[in-house]
Amino acid sequence: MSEHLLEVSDLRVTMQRRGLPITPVDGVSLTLDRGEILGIAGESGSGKTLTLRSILGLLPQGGVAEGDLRFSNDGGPPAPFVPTEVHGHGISIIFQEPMTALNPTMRVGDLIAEGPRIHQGMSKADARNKAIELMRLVGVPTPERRARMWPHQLSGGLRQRVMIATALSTEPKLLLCDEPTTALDVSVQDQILGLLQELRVRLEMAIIFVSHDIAVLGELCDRLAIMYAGQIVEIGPADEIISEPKHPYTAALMASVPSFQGTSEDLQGIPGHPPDPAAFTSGCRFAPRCAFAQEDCEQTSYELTSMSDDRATACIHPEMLAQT
Amino acid sequence: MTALLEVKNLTVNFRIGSAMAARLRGQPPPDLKAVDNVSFEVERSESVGIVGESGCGKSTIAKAIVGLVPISAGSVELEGQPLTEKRDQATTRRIQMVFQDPGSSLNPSLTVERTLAELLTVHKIVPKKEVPERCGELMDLVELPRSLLRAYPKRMSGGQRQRVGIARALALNPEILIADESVAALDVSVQAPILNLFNALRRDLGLTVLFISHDLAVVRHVSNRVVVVYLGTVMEDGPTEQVFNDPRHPYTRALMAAAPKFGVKKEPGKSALTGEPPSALDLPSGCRFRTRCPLAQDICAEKEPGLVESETDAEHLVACHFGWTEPPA
Amino acid sequence: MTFDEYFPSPPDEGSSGQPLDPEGTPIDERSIWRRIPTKAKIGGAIVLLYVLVALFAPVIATHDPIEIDPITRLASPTAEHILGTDELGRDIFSRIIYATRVDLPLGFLGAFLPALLGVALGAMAGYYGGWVDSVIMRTSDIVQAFPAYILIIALVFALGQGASSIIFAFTILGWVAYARLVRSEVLRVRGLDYVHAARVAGLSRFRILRVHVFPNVISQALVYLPSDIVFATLALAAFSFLGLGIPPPTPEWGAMIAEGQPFIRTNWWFATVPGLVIVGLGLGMSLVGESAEEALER
Repeated sequence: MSEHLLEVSDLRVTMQRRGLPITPVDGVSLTLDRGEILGIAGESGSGKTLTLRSILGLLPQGGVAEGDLRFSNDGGPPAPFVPTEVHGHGISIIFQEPMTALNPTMRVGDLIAEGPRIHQGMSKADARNKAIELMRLVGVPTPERRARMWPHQLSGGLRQRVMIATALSTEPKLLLCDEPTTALDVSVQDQILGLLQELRVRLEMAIIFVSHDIAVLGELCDRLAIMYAGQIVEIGPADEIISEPKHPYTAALMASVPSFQGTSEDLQGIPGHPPDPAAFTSGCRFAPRCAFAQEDCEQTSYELTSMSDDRATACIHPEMLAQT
Repeated sequence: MTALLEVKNLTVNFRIGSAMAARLRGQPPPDLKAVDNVSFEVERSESVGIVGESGCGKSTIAKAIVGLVPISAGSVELEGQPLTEKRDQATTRRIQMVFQDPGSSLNPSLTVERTLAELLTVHKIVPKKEVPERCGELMDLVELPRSLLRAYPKRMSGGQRQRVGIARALALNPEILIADESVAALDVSVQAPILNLFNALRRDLGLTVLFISHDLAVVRHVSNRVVVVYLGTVMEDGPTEQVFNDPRHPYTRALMAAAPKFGVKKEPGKSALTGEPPSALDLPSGCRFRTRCPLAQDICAEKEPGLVESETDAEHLVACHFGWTEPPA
Repeated sequence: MTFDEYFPSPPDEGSSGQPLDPEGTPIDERSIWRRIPTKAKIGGAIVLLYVLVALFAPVIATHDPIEIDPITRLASPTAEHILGTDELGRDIFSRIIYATRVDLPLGFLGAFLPALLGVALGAMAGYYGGWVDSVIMRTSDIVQAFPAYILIIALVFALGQGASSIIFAFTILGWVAYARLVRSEVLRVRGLDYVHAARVAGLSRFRILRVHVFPNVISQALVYLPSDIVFATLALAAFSFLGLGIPPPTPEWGAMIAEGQPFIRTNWWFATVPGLVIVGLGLGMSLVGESAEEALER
């Protein structure tokens, strides 16, 4: 049985907001194997972005992360790590807005070369060559010429590729993706997703992909975790989660997404809105909006229960959903 | 029968850079043709989706129809009457718009009621003493609690603000509603009821809707006709189901193929459309899509294709030399 | 499924026991008074104190501020003359008190009038653009190019000494900062969707300017105003110190500093206390201004 690449246990992020403490990430646990693509789906306020960023310690001012984070940087069993240990050293991240994620005062080639120079001690010339190689790998045409360009001279799609190249420059085993295609056109998104799949195969790199776009996650990911109000409410193989959800929130989410294949039915919205983080309860947080809520739902503490080998749900009455 | 709204050879140019400097250099004036010779019709109570990627000009088309940008050439006609930027109050009321960004679409210093009441009062939609009740009715139409009338925009969520934007657009009792990416900035579960709302308004009020979007799945749910725009021109125009099931333009086919679909896995390294769109300032000769088109032939570089309807269906038009025929092998 | 099953009501209380409003957001239940930050309260109290002193000067002062008494000139503080007397035997304490009636209104006016002019010109420049914008902006460049104090001195010389000349000079110079602040805000707001929406709704340009643009562009100017009041008061004091401000015998803090300067070794309080009084007002207004800025940021 192969060991995991990444283990996250009971991750909790606390912050202060207008004097009140809030826990926007509240007890998240997940595992990831080498070369696996895990998606984290959720709407705004679900905590998905913070979860991703806390793996690398990228928390906002005043944010504190607690929990058990283990990563296998050397091929052995996953060991506890401090975010700064893995910066430029095993785990990389790409962001949503290429324009703000790339330093506008550095030429693109220098940006990509920075990692190898600092973390791997490469010489300037070697790092430059590596940067060009990486640009070729991520599909940037005429990389020698492009390496001398500034970020603002490139289109959105190219900038995103440059960001991926930068992330790859330190040969990470794990690539974190924070909604990297949300700001891109559909055709460019298609190219970037194809690229990520290719890189996963060629470099045996694992990916965690955070997005609100279920269709994209369905296309790309092996496994999928659904987050709501700071917690994972369901996790399992992506295809199964989408076609046979075992949590009412997942089901409601699927019913609200206009599918490309189209149906003539009305889309189902979810009445109400997510709870404010300052008002999180210990019971099921979706119960107030849930069409299947029972009396004990708000009383019973949250727990992610395994239904089978690789499927888990936090719903204590999944049978209600199965009846429909 | 004349359509309700007719866009005829619409061209919108933006001046970028100095015309004088260009003339001194012996060059044509530096104009960006954001919209280039676009034509389509909208029948009463139809819902037309205008799709395209960023920078294709779809938003500019909407702004030209509503009078926010000047028309450089061609015309926009409402029941046969050409529209200009300056229009009288009655004409202004007939076409209204819902904007994209809930963060900037409402005046932060006004309550919802004041925002709505202003329009009702200035246009004298109802007598003064009926204005508060009418504001309430508008809130009911967009499924918002009347208590929100007293709220300021910053107290409301994105979805609520969008609904207020729709209420504002409806305040003038328009015939045509233009939604410019009106759900793009919203969460999926919040998007859904608003899309349903558009459909309901169309059904119940007989509204004609122009839905601008980059999201094909959304357009499929809301529109009964689709107009596909690329780099300022129309590539394909037809009934939604036909265009989605049998896209005739290579660009449309590529867009459909690129859209993420449930139950279909992404293949490594493969993508529907390669490369980048050419710069709008330096368009390819002939068909502007030919640089990325798998079917490109010599004629594509020589002659720009016009919109041609199919022999069997006058409703479906394609701007491609091989839209209805097979290209030579 | 019934209507009630489909639309369940949200919880009335969050886990931290906070009451929730209908949206589910915790309500800050503290009263209005407790919600004002301390900084604003202190600053506001200081300014209020000065205003009250100005209003009740005849009651608070112990003597007539311009009554001369050559016998008791340059006296040290006593029970009768709390801060002693100046070189003409006038009671310093009373003069400081009455000076509030000069410095305060003139300081405020010296900031309000430029603000009015600057906001109007800046809004016009930003909204109408074109040659209106060019003319206003180039004028502001010219005004800014002159060294401020030299210009004020020249103006006061030309127009004669006195309050109105000083205020006029401040206005001619002071509008520029407000105009720039407001103009850049107008440029930002002009491109926002709610202004587009107002145009699409066929509202007149004037109405758009009044209802949709103006209220959303003045916050920066409002934040700048308190510090400008401080500047105006200090400038007034400086000019009086130089002999260009309010003519004697009207008491004015700056003039008193000048008058007290030759006696700094023996009667140090003569020049120092008016100075401290100016500092106090400046402190109060700065606290108010900062609080306003922070409040607007939220």
